[in-house]
Amino acid sequence: MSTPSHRFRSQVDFSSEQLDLDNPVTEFRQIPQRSVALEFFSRDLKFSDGKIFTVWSFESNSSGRSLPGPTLRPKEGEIFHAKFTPSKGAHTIHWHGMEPDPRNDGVGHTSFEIGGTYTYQWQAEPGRPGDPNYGAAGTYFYHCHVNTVLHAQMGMFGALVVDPVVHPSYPVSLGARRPFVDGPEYDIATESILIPYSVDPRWHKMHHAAGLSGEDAGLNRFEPKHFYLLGGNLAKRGNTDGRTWSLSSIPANVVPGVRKPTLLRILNANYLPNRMYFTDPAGKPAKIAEIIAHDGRPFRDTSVPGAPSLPSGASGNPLFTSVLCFGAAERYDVILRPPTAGRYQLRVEWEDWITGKILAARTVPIIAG
Amino acid sequence: MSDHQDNRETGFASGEKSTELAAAPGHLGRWDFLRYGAAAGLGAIALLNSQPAKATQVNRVVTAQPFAVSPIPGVLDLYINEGYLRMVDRSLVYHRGFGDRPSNLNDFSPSLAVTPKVFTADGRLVESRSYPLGAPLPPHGTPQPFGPDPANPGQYYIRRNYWASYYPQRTIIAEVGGRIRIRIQNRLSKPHQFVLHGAGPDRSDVGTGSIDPGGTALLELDTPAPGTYIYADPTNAPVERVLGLFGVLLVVHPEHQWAIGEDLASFERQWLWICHDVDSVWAGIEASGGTVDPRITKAVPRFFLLNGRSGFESLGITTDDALNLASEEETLISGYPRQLDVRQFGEGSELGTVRGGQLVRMVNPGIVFHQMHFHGNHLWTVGRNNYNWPRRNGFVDPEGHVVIQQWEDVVELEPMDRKDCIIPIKRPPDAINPVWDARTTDWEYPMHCHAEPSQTAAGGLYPGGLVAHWTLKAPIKGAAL
Repeated sequence: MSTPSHRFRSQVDFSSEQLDLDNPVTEFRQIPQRSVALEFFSRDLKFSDGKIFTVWSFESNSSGRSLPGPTLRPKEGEIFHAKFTPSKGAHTIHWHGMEPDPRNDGVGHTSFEIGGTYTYQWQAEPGRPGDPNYGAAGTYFYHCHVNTVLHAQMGMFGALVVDPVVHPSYPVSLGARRPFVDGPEYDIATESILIPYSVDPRWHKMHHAAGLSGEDAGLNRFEPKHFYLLGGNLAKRGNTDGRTWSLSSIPANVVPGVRKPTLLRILNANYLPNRMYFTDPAGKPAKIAEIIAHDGRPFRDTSVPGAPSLPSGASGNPLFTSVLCFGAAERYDVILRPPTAGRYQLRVEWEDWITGKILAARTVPIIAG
Repeated sequence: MSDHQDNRETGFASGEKSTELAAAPGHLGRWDFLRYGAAAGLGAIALLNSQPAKATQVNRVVTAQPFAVSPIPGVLDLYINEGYLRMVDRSLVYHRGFGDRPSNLNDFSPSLAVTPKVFTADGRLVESRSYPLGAPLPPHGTPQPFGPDPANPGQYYIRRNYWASYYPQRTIIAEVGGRIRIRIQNRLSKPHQFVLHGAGPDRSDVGTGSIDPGGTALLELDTPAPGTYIYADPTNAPVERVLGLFGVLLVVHPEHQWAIGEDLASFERQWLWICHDVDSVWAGIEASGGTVDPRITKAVPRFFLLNGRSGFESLGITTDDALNLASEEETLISGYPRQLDVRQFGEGSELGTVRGGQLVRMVNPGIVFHQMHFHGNHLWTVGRNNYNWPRRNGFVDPEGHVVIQQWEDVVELEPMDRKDCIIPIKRPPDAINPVWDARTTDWEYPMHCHAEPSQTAAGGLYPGGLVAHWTLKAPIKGAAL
């Protein structure tokens, strides 16, 4: 099953003849410590600027219909199950950045597409302090991998956060958490996620299989007209049924202070390069962002073979910046460390994927207190 | 119907003249293929009666017979040729390229890319798809392991300094200590250049200067430092590059053939991945004698290629065995699972680890900001643009890129960028134990660009664009402990 041996006479045949199974079996099914049931939905959603677009995405029993889909949050070491029941055609879920076996990787041409129901199963690898070879804790996302160019733009994605195991040498304070097993503590109450996304309205009128039969659907032309910052406070999403979850401001704890610092998770959910700039209340570049992880893996000092690899911050070399560049599907984890209270700003720019020209920008305040 | 099919499958009719871009009324000509390339595979028949013959103005050097310059020992002759290449949807698109034999526009198989050549340190020029010269060839591109890893059941020790690597078309390899000697003949009607970007003193560009139509130029230089370099025609940038005038120079230290360079990361074998994006409209303008102004005619790539192939052809799942094998050898990463420690890839050691990974050199002569996403394993990025990244004391550069060796599942690849990454080829970390322990087949994982419009061909046909996969080989019966 995991090795596609079928051969195809043409690209049209390959694009239009993906293996579609009604109810594939979850092999070696375990008792999960964390599980979720997800379904597909299609509906018109209201965006932060009042615009309404048809969105396809995922919903759970309690999430309502929103964009992005419900945030999933398993822990390292847990057996995770996601029972997925698509509708209006076959879909899959790819757990972007998680690395299970091919059947649970959610890609049609290396396993199968789901017509009925399938329960994905995987176990996020536990981290080990000081070891750069182990550990899955970090920021990810999940998305449909069928006609992905269209389905991901239609909104078939959600945030996936993997929390670390707690190691005795790295205990956690009340109200705090660590981003990875030996990472710095952060404040749970202000943890936020920022998800740049953009909409090409032409695409939101297409059908499930647009382009797969060889017709020119223009899917090589992504020309967004609307630009959004999705996300918000991870602890307080609340009811977003019928509308998008939109980021309007970012809280940040002043450091040093009574509370632990704020963690900002970043996920590029569109097809364009983004660049972001942090500025202080006076509008000057502010190096308040400590970049601690990328694509679910911490930055570490790996210079001494066999010796513990400390996280960059703990090794005396924190990666502070006022500017961060990141392209499609990349994730960054950032500890915000504003030295004083006040209204900082985060400006996010979208760039053309060929010329690099700035297409749009959005600014949100960072309220440091 | 039959005329059309013949043209698509066998190239142009034998009686065609090189300047006959326009079709006779009622026939689909080359120009029609250009304008309607994406529709050619499906709706071309409708064009036969609905489109008038297209008058074209063509101005190019036409030769009745290809001619070659007299060879000089140790000198690589490249010819700036033009011709039509079949895209993954079977449409034909006009291209230019640095070929290694003279060919004409109407050739069935024009020479638009060099078959890999090696400049050796001792002054020889050798044609070889594999390097190091004389090293054993990995079957189907897959290095066979040394043997089971007793400390890690189901995993293997790799062979160090043993297997050759295969390289794609457009690759020129040069060994440190030697000289690079390239003679370029311009067989087209406009001036062109050949430039090795970053290969000159202090990483400056070095090139031939403008070569007039019919003219020849010789470029000679000492082999630069180990690394990857893009060669291209910078004329009217990026237009000539998009039309196909590009390739990659890979420089290797002859005493460190299985390492990025002295005291740098070593590998079991390496893979050279060359990205390219094809704009049919630009090709059509140039084929008809015009000159593209990229400020006026915005680039809209329609095909996205990795090592010259897209979609199911890049994935090696066609009915053409030879094409599939070439993809397996040149593009489709494969290996046996091994334990690995990213703190030690053999830098500066005699033997290094017996558990190393494979090196993926990603090179983007294209014009799209590619985002190379690997399923199954994160990659360890060791450097960019021939700068080895530090393992400690990293920093964020003024553009906002984090500069330190790091894990990534999406590797940014801006136009003209080159990234060196180690793929560990290790057990996928989030697979549950019972599934891993019961594994009897190869496990395949996709690699694709996550700037998703690059996953299309001719406006659709997902996944028909810049895509590949990598294979974690099944246990060897009787060998696994």
